[in-house]
Amino acid sequence: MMADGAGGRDGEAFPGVRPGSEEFPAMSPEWGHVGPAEFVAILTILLAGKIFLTFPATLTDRAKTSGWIVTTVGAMLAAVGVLIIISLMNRFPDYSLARVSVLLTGPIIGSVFNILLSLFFLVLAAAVLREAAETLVIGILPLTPLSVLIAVMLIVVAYGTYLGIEAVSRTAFLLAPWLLVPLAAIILSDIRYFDLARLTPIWGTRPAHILWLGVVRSSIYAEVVAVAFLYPALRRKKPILGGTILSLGLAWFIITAVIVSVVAIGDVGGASRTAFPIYFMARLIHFGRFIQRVEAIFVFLWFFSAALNVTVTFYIANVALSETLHLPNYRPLVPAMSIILYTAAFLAPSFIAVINFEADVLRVFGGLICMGIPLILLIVAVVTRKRQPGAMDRSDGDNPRPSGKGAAMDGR
Amino acid sequence: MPTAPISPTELFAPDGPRTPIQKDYDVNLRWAQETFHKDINSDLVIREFEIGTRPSTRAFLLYYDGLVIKEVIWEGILQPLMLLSEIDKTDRRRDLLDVIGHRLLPSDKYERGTDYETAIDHVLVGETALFVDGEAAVLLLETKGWQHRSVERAQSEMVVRGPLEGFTEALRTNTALVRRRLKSPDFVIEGLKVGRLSRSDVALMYIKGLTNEKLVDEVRRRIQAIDVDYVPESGMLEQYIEDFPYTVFPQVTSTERPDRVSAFLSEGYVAIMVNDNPWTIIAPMTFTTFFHSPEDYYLRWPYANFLRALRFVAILITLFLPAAYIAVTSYHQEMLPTDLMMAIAASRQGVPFPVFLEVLLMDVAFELIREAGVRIPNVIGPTIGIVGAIVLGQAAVAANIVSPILVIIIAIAALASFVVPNFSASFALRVLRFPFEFLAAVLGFYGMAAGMLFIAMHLASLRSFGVPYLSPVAPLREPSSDIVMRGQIWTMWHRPPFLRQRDKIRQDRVVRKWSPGARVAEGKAPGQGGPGQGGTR
Repeated sequence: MMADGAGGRDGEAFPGVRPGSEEFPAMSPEWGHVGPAEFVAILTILLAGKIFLTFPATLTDRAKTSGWIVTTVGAMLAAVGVLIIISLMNRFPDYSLARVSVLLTGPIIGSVFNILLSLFFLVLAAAVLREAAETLVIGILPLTPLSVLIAVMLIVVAYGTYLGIEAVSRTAFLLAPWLLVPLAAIILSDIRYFDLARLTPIWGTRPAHILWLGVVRSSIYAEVVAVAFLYPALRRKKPILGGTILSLGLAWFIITAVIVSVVAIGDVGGASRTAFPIYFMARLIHFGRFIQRVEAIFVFLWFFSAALNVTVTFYIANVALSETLHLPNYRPLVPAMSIILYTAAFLAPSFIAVINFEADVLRVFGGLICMGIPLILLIVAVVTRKRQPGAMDRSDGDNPRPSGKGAAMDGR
Repeated sequence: MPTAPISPTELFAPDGPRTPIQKDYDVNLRWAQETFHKDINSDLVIREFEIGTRPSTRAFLLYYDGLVIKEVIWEGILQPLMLLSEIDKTDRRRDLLDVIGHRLLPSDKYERGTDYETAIDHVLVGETALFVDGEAAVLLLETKGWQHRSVERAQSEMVVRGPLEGFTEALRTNTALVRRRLKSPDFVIEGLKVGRLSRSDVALMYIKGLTNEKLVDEVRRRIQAIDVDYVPESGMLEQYIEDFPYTVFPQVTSTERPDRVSAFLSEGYVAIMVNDNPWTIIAPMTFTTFFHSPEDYYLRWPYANFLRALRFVAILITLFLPAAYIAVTSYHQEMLPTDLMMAIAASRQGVPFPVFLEVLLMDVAFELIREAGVRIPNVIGPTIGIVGAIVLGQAAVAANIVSPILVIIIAIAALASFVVPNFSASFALRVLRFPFEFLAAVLGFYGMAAGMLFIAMHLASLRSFGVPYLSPVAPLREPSSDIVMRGQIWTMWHRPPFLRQRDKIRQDRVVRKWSPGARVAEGKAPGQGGPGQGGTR
C-alpha cells in the first residue's frame, strides 16, 4: 500500500479513470478521492440534513404520533435499496451510475434514466435551497429578499460543486461535529419539556396506514442513491457497503430522534403546524439570564447542512447530465446549471407549494427513481452478464492507480 | 590567435554551452579581463605572478576582493607557489596542476575545471581561480569568506522555553545550525542554484531514507524548473514553487529557527534554504501549522495544550469576533442579554457611523499602527505605542467616533492575531477578517456562515506538494496525537502519517523504560515495543 499510495494521481488528466477498453471508454468526470470517514459524513449529512427544514413538520402532519415508525420502516426498505445499488456498482467500480446506465441500457434508455436522475436531483436541490432560504426569512432575516439569500447560498454551492466531491466530502467531515454537537445540544436542552405521553397512540393513524406510509415514504432516504455517484471516488471499495449502512443507520437515528423529540415536546398539533420544528426547539433554549434566544447561532447549522446538501445533490445532477451529454468533465456545466437551479428555486409560487411538492411528489416518487433505476440496471446487468473488465479483482481491495508526476504525494 | 571565448557584450548564461580552457596564458588572461570587465570593475583582482618552478611558470589568480579571505591567498596560495615550489618542470611524468594541488596548496578543498564556465561559477561565489601557463585547466581554490551577521536571537519567533538562536544570512552557518541538531549521516543538504543573474545557492535539506523520495523529487523538480534571473529570498522562492498562487493561505511554513527546521526534518518534511537570508521554508504545509509553535513540544503536556487551546480560540477570535459584533448589533440583537444590549446601545449613542464603518475605521487604524511599527526606525518606535494607545483609542472614543466597546473588540481581535505563531498564517487571518466583516454587515450570521463554508471548502480543496491542506483531519488518517491538541510526548510515536515517510515510527512504543508501569506493559506483551523493535506497526 505504501508504494502505491505514494504514487501521485494529480498529474493525470482524469485521475479517476484508468485507460478503458473499447467497451468501456475512459471518459468520466474527475472524481477525486473520498475516504471512508468522509464518505460516511457526507452521506449522513445528505440523508439527515432535511431535519432542519420542514420535513419533521410534514411527516408529523401525515403520520401523526407514529412518524418514528415510518422513518424506521423507510430505513429498512432503503437498506434493501442500498444492497441493490452496491451490488450493481460492484460490477462497475470505476464508473458512476450515470455511465453504468448508458453502458447497460444503451444510449437512449440510459439517457432517459440519466435525465430523470439529473432532474430529480436538480429539483431536490431547488426545493432544499428554497426551503432553507424561507426558513431564514421567517426565522431571523425577515427583511432580506429571498433572492439574495438564495443567491448567496448558490454561490457557495456552485463553488463547492465546481471543486468536486473530494473537497465537499472533506468539508462535510470537518463540519460534521459542528453539526452534530449543536443538534444534540438543542435536543438535550429541551429535554425538560419532554412528555412521552404525547407519543401515544403508538400506531398513530392505524397500523396498516402507518406501514404503508413507511413504504411510500422510504423516499425519505432516496438520496442514498448518491452512493452510486460517490462510488468511483472511493479508492477502496470494500468499506462502501458498511459505510453506507452506517450512514443510513446514523441518519435513521438522527431523523428518528428529532421526530420523536418534536412530537414529545410540541405535541402532534404543535409539531405539524410549525414550519421548522427544530428552529422552535432552539428558541425554547433558556438557561438563566444569559443563555436565551440563542437561535441565531443555529443559523450556522442551517446553512452548513442545507448548503452541503444542495451541493451534493447539485453535483449529482451535474454529473448525471454530463454523462448524458458525453462530456468528459461536468465542470463546464456548473455555471449554466447554477442559473437553472436559481430559477428552479423560484418556480414554486409559494412556500406552501414547495412544502407540498416536496412532501407529496418528491418524497413519494423520488424513491421510484432512486431505487427503481438501480434495480432495473442490476437486473439488466445480471441477465446480460456485463461487468467492467477486472471488476471482481478490485472490488474487495485496494485500487491501485498509475502514478503521475504532477505532485509529490497523494494525500489519501 | 583564437578569439575570446565569450563575447563581452552578452550576459553570462550559466546553462549555456561549455567552452574548453586554452593552454595559452595570454588567451586566458584576456578572457578573464574581458569576461569580468576588468577595465571598469573595481573589486575584481587578477594577480599575475610566477610559480617558482625551474624554469619559472607564468600564472595568475582570479578572485573578487571582499568575497575571499586575504590571508588564505597570501599564505595558502601565493607563498607556497612563489617561494616554496621547487618543481623540476622538465619532469613531465606528473601533470603540473596535480603537483600544485597535491603538494603545494594547503587549501582544504580544491577542484579542477576544464571550461571557462565552471571557473566563472566558482569565482562568483568567492573561490579563487588559478590559471597556469601551458595548462588547459584551472584550479579552483576554496577561499570563501566575507562579512556577515553573527548568530543572534530569532527575531519573529520568540519562545520563553527553548533555544533562542535564529538563522543568519550565511547559508553555511545556517546549515551548520541544523546539522548540529541532526547528527546523522543520512541528513542530506543538496545544493542547487536558482536565478540566472543572482545564482542564489539553494540548499535542499531532508533525511535520506526517512523522507519520501517522491516529495524530495517534486520539490527539487519545482526548484530546478524555475527560470528567472533573480531569487534573493526564500519568500520569492516560495511564490515560485507553491501549488495555489491565488489563495490567501500560505502553502509552505517559513521559520527562522534551526530547532524548528530540525524538528520538521525529523518528521519527514523537506526544508529549503536560500543563501543570504535567514528564513527557511518547509514543505509541505498543513493547516495544523497555524496552531503549532516550537515551544509546544518543550513545555509540559498540560501547559502546551493550554497554549494550543488558547491559539485555537485566538484564531476564531481574530477571524470572527469583529464580524460577529457587527452581525449581533445589526441583525441579532435579541441574542444579547438585555443589560449587555443596553450597554452597547448606550455606548453607541452619539456615534454617527454604522457599526460596519466603525469597525472598518478601527481595523484600518490598527493595521496602520502595526505597519508603522514595523517600518518605523527603532529610535522613535515607542512613539507609535503612545500614539496608538492614546490618540486612536481614547481620543476616538472621546470624540464619539467609535464606541468604547468596539475598541475592546478590535483590541482583543488584534491581540489574538499576534498569538498565531506563524507569520504568513497570521497574515492570512488578518486579510480574511475584512471579507467576514463585510458579509456580517450585509447578511448577519447568514453571511458569516456562507463565508465560513466557502473557506472550509476552499481549504479542503487546497494541497501543498500533493498533501491535502487539512491533513490529517480531512482526509482522516489514522488518529494523530498532534493536531490541535498534542498527546503526551511518549505517546507521539508516529510521525505525521500524511507525509508517507519511509520510516513512520518515531520511537519505541515504550519510551519511559524506567517506569514500573512501562516495564509491566513490556513484560506482559513481549514484542510489543521492546527495545529496537520499533513498536508494533
